[in-house]
Amino acid sequence: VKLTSSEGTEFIIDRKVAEKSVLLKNMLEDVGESDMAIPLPNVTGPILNKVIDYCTHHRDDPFVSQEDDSKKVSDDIDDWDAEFCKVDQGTLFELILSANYLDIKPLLDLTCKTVANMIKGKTPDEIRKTFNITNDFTPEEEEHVRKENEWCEER
Amino acid sequence: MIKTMHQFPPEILKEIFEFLQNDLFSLHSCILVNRQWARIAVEILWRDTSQFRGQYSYDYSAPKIFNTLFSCLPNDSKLLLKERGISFSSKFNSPIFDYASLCRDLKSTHINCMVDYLIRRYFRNFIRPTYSSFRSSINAVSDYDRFLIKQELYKMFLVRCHSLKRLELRIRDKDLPLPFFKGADICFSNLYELHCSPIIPTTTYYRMAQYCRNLGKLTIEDCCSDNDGLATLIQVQSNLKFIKIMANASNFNFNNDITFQGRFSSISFAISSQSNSLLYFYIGGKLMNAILPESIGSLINLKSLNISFHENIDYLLMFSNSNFPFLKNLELKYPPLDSLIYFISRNGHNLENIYFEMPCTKSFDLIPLYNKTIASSCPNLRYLSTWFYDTDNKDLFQIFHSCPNIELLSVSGYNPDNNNNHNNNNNLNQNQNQNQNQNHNHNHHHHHHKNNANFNKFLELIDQLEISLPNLKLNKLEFIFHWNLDFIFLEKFLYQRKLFNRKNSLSFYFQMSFDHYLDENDSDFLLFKFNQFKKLGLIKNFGISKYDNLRL
Repeated sequence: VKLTSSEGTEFIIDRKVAEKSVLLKNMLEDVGESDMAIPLPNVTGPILNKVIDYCTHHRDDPFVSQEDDSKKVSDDIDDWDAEFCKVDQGTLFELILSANYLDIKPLLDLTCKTVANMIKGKTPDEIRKTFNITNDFTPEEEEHVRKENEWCEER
Repeated sequence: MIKTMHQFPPEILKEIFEFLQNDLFSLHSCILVNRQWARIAVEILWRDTSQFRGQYSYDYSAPKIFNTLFSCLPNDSKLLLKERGISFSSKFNSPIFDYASLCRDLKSTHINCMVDYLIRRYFRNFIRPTYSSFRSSINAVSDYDRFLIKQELYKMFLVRCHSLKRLELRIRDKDLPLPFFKGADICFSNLYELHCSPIIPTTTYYRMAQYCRNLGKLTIEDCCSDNDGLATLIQVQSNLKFIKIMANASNFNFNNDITFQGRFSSISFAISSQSNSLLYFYIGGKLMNAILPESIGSLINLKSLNISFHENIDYLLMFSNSNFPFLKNLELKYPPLDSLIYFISRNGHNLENIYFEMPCTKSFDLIPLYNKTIASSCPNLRYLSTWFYDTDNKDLFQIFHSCPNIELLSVSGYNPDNNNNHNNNNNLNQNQNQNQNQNHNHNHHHHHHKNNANFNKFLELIDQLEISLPNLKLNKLEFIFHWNLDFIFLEKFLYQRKLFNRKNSLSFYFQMSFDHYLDENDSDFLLFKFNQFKKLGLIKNFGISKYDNLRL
């Protein structure tokens, strides 16, 4: 299967690897075997490279259907996946968006878990610093929101 | 190139926050980061009332939660409660978010706990002094206040939530007929999961049946009577996949089970009417005959069957010869070997999991036949519970030949010489006492009690299996009851596996009942050794507890 990234770089991968992406899987099923490259205008070359790394490593994993009962926890990342996610924030965010766009649920879960772990245990101010987020609450609003949700605040 | 989170679409932030759903501290931090984060994080924090339990006790959280919910109440509700002296002062007029509308999972247990606490601690003060000399009057007043608070909260939830997913109706709320409340038609139309009890009046269920038809899961707690309304609610469902029914005999004074056969006939027939869609059926409690075995037998599409009764369920498993061609999961409290063997021989083809909560049996002589039946009937097994003493190698070998997908083997040690004992529990206790007596002069490396299963022979079996079956998937071993552990042999076995580079990394699990005959030093030693094995990379994982949940 041929894929082209946003800059036009071409990638050739196994169909089995490509099918980790539900988007590509459906496309391939509709189009059938073809030499035409599939354009992915939302994904840059370096990110696509990472995504392919991930899909190649996990090519033999069984497809996990979504159970809406399963509790989501973030402390079950294995060593390879943890190493895979040791990238700068920009890359991590791009990976999340690509996984979302290409519909690769396990990669989306992994990258979201990684971000969730970066949030864990931090104060609002530390979170803003970590992700470079500006606080757009007015002081009154902030106090109001705090008050309404203070039941889960640490004593 | 995205460099900041500002450009994230909200649905992705939500995906991230989902992983913090059990971490209230971090969720609270997220709420205070900025407006966008707040909007998304409050959806997760307020959607399930069981979060109200919070990480602290109710004395900390209940008044604060009520304060916020009170501010969301419509004015007429506020006035009604204020007249009774029930209110909290707040300097803010209206809430920033409509928290009640975010609820997806309404559990009356948590509302009750919160309200009980408030009545006890706060609103007693407002009771007029004239009542104070009459204790019963005080209770009557606080019961009325409790009713009012709950009524007004539920009224708000039902009007504001447009798609409740889960609802729990407790017996305590039988006087609050939620399906008759305004907004119930919309609120309950997408309900997926309902917990309820037959104590709730028939008419409440009739009303519910008018607009709640898309249930996927139904749990009936404390099933101690039949209920035509509940039966109707079951019958009108279009795609009910899961039923759990906990029968309860406590309201009856019965000498003979048979008297109660078919006692819940309306509910039984209603369950049968859902045989096309029902995939998971769980029945347990104390009054098994009340649901007709024929009803269970009619559920021919079941993937999972769980029967959890203390009594002998021999006759239940017979199910008048019905077949479950799609059954993958069979879980029983006690294995009635006689009927189980017959059941497996007819329904084993797709079985992936056979599990016993308490793998006690009286009929040790049937174990070889059980193993042979598994080998001949269950080619797709992944999780198997069976027994081992020291002469069962051949049968187990045969099982792994015919069931190549087994990943987890749960083996209970047994001793065929104890066969004369009629009560297996007694027999286990006797073992314990004997072991404790014999244990006085033991050393840590050898426990040889003739009543215990032969651990070394079992390891030899695993070794043979790994040599002769290159595609063996077995990687989890669970040991239950009494085994003669020999750490020198085990260590040798593990090093040898490493030396020969065996494909599967093994995990070992020991059940409480296994180690509680050991004294504390032994159990510490077990922990110490297995920690060591894990550090050395000889095993993948281990657990020494009854509560290790290693099953899917």
